[in-house]
Amino acid sequence: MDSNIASAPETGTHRWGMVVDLDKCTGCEACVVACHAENNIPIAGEDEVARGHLANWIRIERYWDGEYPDVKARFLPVLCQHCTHAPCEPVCPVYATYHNPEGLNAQIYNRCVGTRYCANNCPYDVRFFNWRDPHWPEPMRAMLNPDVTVRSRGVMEKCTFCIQRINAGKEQAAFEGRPLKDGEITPACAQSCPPDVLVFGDLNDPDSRVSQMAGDERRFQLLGELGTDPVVIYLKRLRE
Amino acid sequence: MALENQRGLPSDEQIIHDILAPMQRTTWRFWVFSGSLALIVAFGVFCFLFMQIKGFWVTGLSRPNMWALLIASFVFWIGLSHSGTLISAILRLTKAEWRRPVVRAAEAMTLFTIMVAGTFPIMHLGRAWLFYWLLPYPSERMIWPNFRSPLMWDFMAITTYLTGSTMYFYLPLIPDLATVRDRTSGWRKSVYTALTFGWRGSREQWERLERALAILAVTILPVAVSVHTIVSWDFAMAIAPPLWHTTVFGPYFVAGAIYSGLALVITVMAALRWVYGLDTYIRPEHFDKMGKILLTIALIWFYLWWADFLTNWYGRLPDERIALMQYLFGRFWPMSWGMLLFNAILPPICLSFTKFRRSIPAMIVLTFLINVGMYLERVLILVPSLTYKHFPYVWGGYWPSWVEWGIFFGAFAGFTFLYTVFSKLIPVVSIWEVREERLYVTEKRVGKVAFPAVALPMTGQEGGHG
Amino acid sequence: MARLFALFPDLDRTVEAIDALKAQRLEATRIDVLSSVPIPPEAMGLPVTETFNQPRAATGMGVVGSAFGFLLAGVTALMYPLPTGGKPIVAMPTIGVVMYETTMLFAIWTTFFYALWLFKSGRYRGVPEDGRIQGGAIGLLLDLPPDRSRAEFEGALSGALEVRPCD
Repeated sequence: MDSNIASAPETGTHRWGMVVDLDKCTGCEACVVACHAENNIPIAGEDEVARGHLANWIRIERYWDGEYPDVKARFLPVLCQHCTHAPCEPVCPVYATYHNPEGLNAQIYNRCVGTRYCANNCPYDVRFFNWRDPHWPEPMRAMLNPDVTVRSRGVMEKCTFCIQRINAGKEQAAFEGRPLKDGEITPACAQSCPPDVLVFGDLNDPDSRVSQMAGDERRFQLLGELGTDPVVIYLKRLRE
Repeated sequence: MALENQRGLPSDEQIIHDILAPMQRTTWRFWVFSGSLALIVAFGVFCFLFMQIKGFWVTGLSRPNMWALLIASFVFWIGLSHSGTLISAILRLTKAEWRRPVVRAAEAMTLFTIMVAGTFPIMHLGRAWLFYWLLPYPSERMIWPNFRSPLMWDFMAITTYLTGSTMYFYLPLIPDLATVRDRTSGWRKSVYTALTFGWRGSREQWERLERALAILAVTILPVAVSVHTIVSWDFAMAIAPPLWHTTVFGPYFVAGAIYSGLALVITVMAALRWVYGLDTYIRPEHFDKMGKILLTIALIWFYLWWADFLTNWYGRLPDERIALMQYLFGRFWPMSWGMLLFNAILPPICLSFTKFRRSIPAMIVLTFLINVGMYLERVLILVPSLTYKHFPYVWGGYWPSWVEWGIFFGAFAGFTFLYTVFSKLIPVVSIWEVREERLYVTEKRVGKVAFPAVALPMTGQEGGHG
Repeated sequence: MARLFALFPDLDRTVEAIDALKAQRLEATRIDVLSSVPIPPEAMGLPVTETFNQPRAATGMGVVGSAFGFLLAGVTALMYPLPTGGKPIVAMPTIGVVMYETTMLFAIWTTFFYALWLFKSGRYRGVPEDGRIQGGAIGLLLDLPPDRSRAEFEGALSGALEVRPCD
């Protein structure tokens, strides 16, 4: 289903988007680990994960295809789609989530009171609730990213396209008095991906890698029929 | 409008004595009962605080089941709050005489159930201590709440309904508070005097009261309909969970609310009659009439449930079908078939028989089962749809933890506690309305038989009596 | 202003007294009846009192409530506009829901507080609460014209249990 992703919001000079090439994904989950490290995602522990109290801002869904011995694994990285018509945004009673001028679905931790309506209304289930106050055993506290808030219990969180890196990149470019270059800002997941499955960039820049790949004939959007119009474009896998 | 015991209808003095008796005499049973209830409520409060301080990992919630028992309870209690409004407002507007002994108890039920219901949106917040951010007031944060959210509509609707039903309960209470005032002394008398706002029973005051009651009856009914519709829109506005995004939810939830609320009225009436010996005032004829209305609403509810089910089943949309099959034939089949048994199969059969409707023990059992079924229905709206969202990888599951059970039982104890205390402070039967009927009750001879009859005064006022 | 309070044991004697008072040319508007249940005025031979403006007050304030709802849901959204989910900043369907509730809220609150205010409207200061009224007796409160004395009406009030003046 074609969507009009070329139509940018009126304000803001950038429109951040991502392309996920399913042909290349090996399911290594380096992106998951990198995201955890970059964004101070709490450690849940095995028992809590079994109860569904985990937070994988990006997850690799593995589906088995076929019958033994021709079984194949299909991998689908799912992260916040930053939908243009995000169903999670209008249902928050305190405006803790809204659409920022650069096309990001922004989550304001300080405003969240934890009604969890946004999580219910997310068709992709990419929103996570902080079930308890986070705790890192002592040596691991040293790895916390100082650019990212540590969230308390009772607050919703999700993938932000590493907004701290976006802001750092923009500030650096402004400081140096030059426009942003394509590839200068990379979220942790895209940075860590060995086969370069995740490509991030400015959809408003027609020369960026993202814009060029987003026009590929293999393109589709997850749950496109719902009309959420995500800015994460998936490219169908072709190989067996 | 026929009255049984018309010849045995008690005198004014007897009415006042009977109805005020519970307020004047308190046995140890009251203290034990309300004390136990208070303990359960305290445990419920402890569970809530525990959940807030430790974090929600102590509950059974997870991704994707972000709403479960607490929200099911919320919807359930809002549904119960339609009890009093239906009896009191509709029967007042239609001038049904048989409502007189039951209106006060029904209005009190509305008031206390909506109070209990109103605690749930606060309790289920991840950061409940910040609940006041949902209040629309000019704050230093320079931001107002998001009124596009159905949760804000909930807030507006519940506020309106809570204040409205308090007022609708309080206004016709004033003449009775005057009766109590005149029979107490000391500090109690001063309290009741203050609460009567200078009521003398003058003609003008009566007309103003009745006019105000007519206006309130007319306005509280649309509010009641809107409250449960808006609560249903918490679900219907969501597009992600299957089976939620349907237009039938508004009417369906309202029908369910009237259904479960009326069942509760019947249960509580029976309890009051038993505990306080109000046999003369709350009679089998009341259960008969309420039973007939219950039968009607049971059929309406089932019609709407069936319409929803048939549409979902027939459409065979993949995302909806999985949830629907699990709902009826998968892991939820005991709950769904239990609900259908209690709400769709038993009531129409049982309530079709006059003997059943007039048997108070039978009605108590049936209405209790109806409410069990309605609670299951609320849980079934939430859990299957949230368990089976779009991505099979994140399909979940839910079972309540002890914390949620504590709050669940605490809510029931809280309502019962409020009701028990109310019955000691305020007359549970509306004295002036029962006595007003005596003005118009007469015997009409038709041929060889004398029938009890109630003359309806035809006044020129709008609203008028009744 | 002299006022008389007379207590009657039942409705029939009250009606007789009212007839007798009207025969003494006491205007019906000066007779007030205190009772524990509402009795239709025509049953006592008294005129239906003038229309009170309670419905109009409720409707009027309901309109105010609608406007308030629009301010609350629409204008506050404009004050700090945050785009959400592709919905307009001023989303009329959602504002409609809020306006409906605020309309009813204002109408209900007005009805209630206006009624309470009307109850307390000063006429009954000095009239003692008499428990016998709540017990079924009916009281008559007479507002005597300044040029006539109490003695003229005592005959009409012969069926009363008690007659006493009050301020």
